[in-house]
Parts: sequence; C-alpha cells; structure tokens
Amino acid sequence: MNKSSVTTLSACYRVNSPSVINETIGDESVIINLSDGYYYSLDDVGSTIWKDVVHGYSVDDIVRHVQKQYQGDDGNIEVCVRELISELEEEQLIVRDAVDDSPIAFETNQEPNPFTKPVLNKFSDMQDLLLLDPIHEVDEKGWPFSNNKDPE
Amino acid sequence: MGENATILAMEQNALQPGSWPTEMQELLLKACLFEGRAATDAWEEWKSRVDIDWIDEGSNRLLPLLYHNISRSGIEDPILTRAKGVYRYQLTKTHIMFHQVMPLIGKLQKEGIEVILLKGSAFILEYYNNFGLRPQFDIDIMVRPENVSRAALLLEQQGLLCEYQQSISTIKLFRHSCGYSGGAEKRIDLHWNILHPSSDTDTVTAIWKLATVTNYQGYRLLTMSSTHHLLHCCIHGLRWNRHAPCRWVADAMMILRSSESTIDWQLIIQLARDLEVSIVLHEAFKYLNATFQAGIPDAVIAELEAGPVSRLERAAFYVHIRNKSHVYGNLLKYTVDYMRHESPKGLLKKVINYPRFLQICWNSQALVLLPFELIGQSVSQNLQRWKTRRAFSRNKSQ
Repeated sequence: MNKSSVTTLSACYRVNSPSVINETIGDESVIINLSDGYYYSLDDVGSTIWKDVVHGYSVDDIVRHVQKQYQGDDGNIEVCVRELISELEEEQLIVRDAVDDSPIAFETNQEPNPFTKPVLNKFSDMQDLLLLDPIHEVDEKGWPFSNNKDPE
Repeated sequence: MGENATILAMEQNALQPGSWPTEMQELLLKACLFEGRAATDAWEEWKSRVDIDWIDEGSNRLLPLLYHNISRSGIEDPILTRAKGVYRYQLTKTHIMFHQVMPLIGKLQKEGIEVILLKGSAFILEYYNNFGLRPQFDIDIMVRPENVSRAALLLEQQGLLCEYQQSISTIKLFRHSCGYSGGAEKRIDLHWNILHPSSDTDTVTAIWKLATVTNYQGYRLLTMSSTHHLLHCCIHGLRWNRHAPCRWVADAMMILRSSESTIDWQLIIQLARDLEVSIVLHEAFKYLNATFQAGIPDAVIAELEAGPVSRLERAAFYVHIRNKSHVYGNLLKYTVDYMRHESPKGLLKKVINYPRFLQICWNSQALVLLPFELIGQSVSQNLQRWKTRRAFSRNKSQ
C-alpha cells in the first residue's frame, strides 16, 4: 500500500451506492461492486470497520471504536484502520461524505478480542466465480473459496 | 447394504422424482422454517442422514435458508459452512441479476408497458427481504396481454434472445410465458398470464386490479397481491418433477407468515374455481397445515374440497401429480393442459393445432421433427440416468 494514500484526516465516508451493495452474513461483510463485477469479503475486524463506515462514523470515531473493541497496540490499530479505509476508497466501495465533527461515545461490556490486521478479500472475476459449483468445487469455507483440487 | 443398493439409495436421495417433498426434504424444510428446538432437532436428524455432496437440487436451493435459520441458534458445523457459501453465492448472483434486469424493466415502463413482478423476485422483495435466501434462475415479470408483442420486441432490441424459435404471436397462443436471455444473469421470463395462455380473463384483470407497489433501488414496481402469490406458488409448485419439488413449501410459508391477515380466503376459493385448480390447492393447503402447521383455515380447505370439479381438472391433477415418467408424462401433461386452454376454440381447431402446440412445447424447428423429438428426449433421459449412476458409482469407489 502506498503510504501517501493512507487516510490521515478525520473524514467521513458512505457506501458508494447504488453501484455498491453490501450485506452482513454472520460476522462477515459481503460487498459487491455491481459496476465492475468485483466481489469483496471482510471478516471480523474488517467487518466491524465496514459496519462503522455504513453507520456514517468518522474515521477518528472508527479508530476509537476498534481500539475499544479489540486488544492490541493502539498505534498499530490506527494505522490498520486507516489503511483499510483507504483501500476501500481506492476500490471505489466508499466515497467521501460530509465531515461529522461530533465524536461518538462507544460503550462495550464485552471483553476485547485480540486485534488482527483486517484483510479485504477481493475476488476479481465474478463470472468465473459464479460458474463455480458452490457445493462441490469449494473448500471448507464455502463459495467463493475454490478447493484448488485438480480436476479428474 | 450391498454396493449397488448403496448407490441406488444415494441416487434416490439425489434424484428422487415426485410431486411431494421427500422425507429428507421435509426434514430440511423443518430445519429451515421451524423455530427453536423443532428446527434444531430436524437439522440434527437431516445432517445425520444426508451426504451433502449428493443432495438433490431442491434441497440445494434451501441451503441458504438452512444456514440463516440454524446459525441463529449459535450452531457451528462444516455443513453449515458449506451452506453459508451457497448463501453467499446466491446473494451475489441475485444482486447481479436484479442489477442487470431492472434497467430493462425500467425501459419497458418508460414505453408505457406496466410490469408486475412474479414468483422469486417478488418473494425476495416482499417476503424473504433478503437477496441470498431465495435462489432463482430468472426474473419473472408479467405484462398486460395487449402489450406482449411490444414488450417482446423491446427485449429483443436490448439484445435478449427468445428461448423459442417461433414468433411471439404464435407462442402467445399456446403458452402463458416466454423466456428471454441476454447471457450471464440477464434472464427474464415474460408472462402474460399466470397459468394457461388465455385462462380466464377475469383472473388476469383481478391480478392487475389488486396489484400492490414494491420498490427496488428507485424502481417503482408492481407485484401481485399476497392472495395471488399464494395461489400461484402452490399451483406451480405442487406438480410432478424429476426432482421432487420442495421450494414452494418454503415460499408458501413465507407468504403466509408475512401476510396471513391480508390473504383473502374467499378470493382464493373463487380463483381456484375459475382457474380449475381446486383439487391441487386443496391438497397443497392440507399438506401445509398437516406438516408445517401453516394455519390455513379449515373452512377454506373444506370449501375447496366441496367445490365443483370438472373431469378435465381431475385429469390435470392426475397427470401433474401422479405421473411417473418425465418424457411421456410430460406429453400427457401437455395434452391435458392443451385441452384446458380456451384457445383455439372448438374441437376441430384444437386437433388441427395440436402439432403446433407440441412444436412450441418441445421448441422444435419443424413439425416433421416432432416424432424424433420424442425419441430424442427419451434417449436423453435414459442417458442422463446412466451418467448419474456412473458418477455415483465412481464417487462410491473413491
């Protein structure tokens, strides 16, 4: 990732709808860019960040929220959050929105989970992926994760 | 159990033909539709008896609903992870399908052609409220009978191809719908009626009169009333198929749960009589109440049972529910359905036009090819059976 592209301002973002569709499946966020056919998946920490973007939280608020919800080095968490948000913007999944100055008070009663660097999984060829049999040709994670076995 | 018997049992599970959900499908439906202990008990029993690699097509389509319902109980299981993959797949596929088809519907509307959403796409927007839970092959729409030719022309101008080789005016005489495809997920099934090509014009008028408004991303769309949806889903679902049908049960239960209070039961009875589908609706409702506690009023079921039933309706019920052969059963079904069509009027005209009707049913290039079509379909069906058995055999020996 290009360092200069990392978000440093307390910007606000919104989902780039209507061309971007997102849904939550359990603790995973599924994002589809209908304009180019790319499909994305975010697990755990990434999904938390995505949901915060959907809620319209500012980047600063998202950083504070993730720091509160996950156990780890605060500086590292901040870098990871900003990097992911920049990546989401580069992929045109989110666009800048009006800045909201009012900070949000996050409360959590849960024990924080260990922080892991969020990864934006990108699946580049929708048509190939759609041709995959979601039962027989996938690994234990299910579609779209191919089992990579050689065909008979 | 010997190897052959094991293979046969697997084959029966995966390919069991029939009219009613199989025992395994019923368990799966209960896991998908029931709540709490009733759902988890059904899930435990289903998964202990199923080979996920060889489940039938109908069950495969229920996997997103299974994941959605059972994962709520906090249960984790490798089968559920696979089901989640199918859910994720359907979610993506359905979104792409809507994204590709909605601009076409918008174009129809712009030309002054009103559109009603039918079946899967309407169920997704109205009852499932989730794009991943209800797999569908295409988007079913209905236009007024007088707009069919214009709608067909517009779809063709947009690059979609008609599934039949005949002109839309000929197709309209013998069918109630026609499929159009523009590749990938751009598929539309264009209807002008819900059952037969010209069945009861009052029914069609009532569908348009009672249509309600639904929305998708800025598109204002019409859809049928819940009463019409319930009727449509049951009469289309409950019929003999190479793969025992079960999705109609989930659809009917979703409609009933979302809109039980708005179902006009007297209208359902009237529609069943007008369309001559009282027997099939009676059987479907009785099944839904007995197996899934659907809560359909007993008085409605009794009235459907007591209603006047013509010989042709009885014959249609018999061939749609009880027949066992795909190819010859279909021929019988086509013939009985054809006899029930209002057009062409008069026995002589019906007999003369029968080959043309079969030509449309089998999408045959020429009338003289019809006998070969019948033979070809029979051979193809047996070949498919042989291929499947061989695949089972290989799977078993690995």
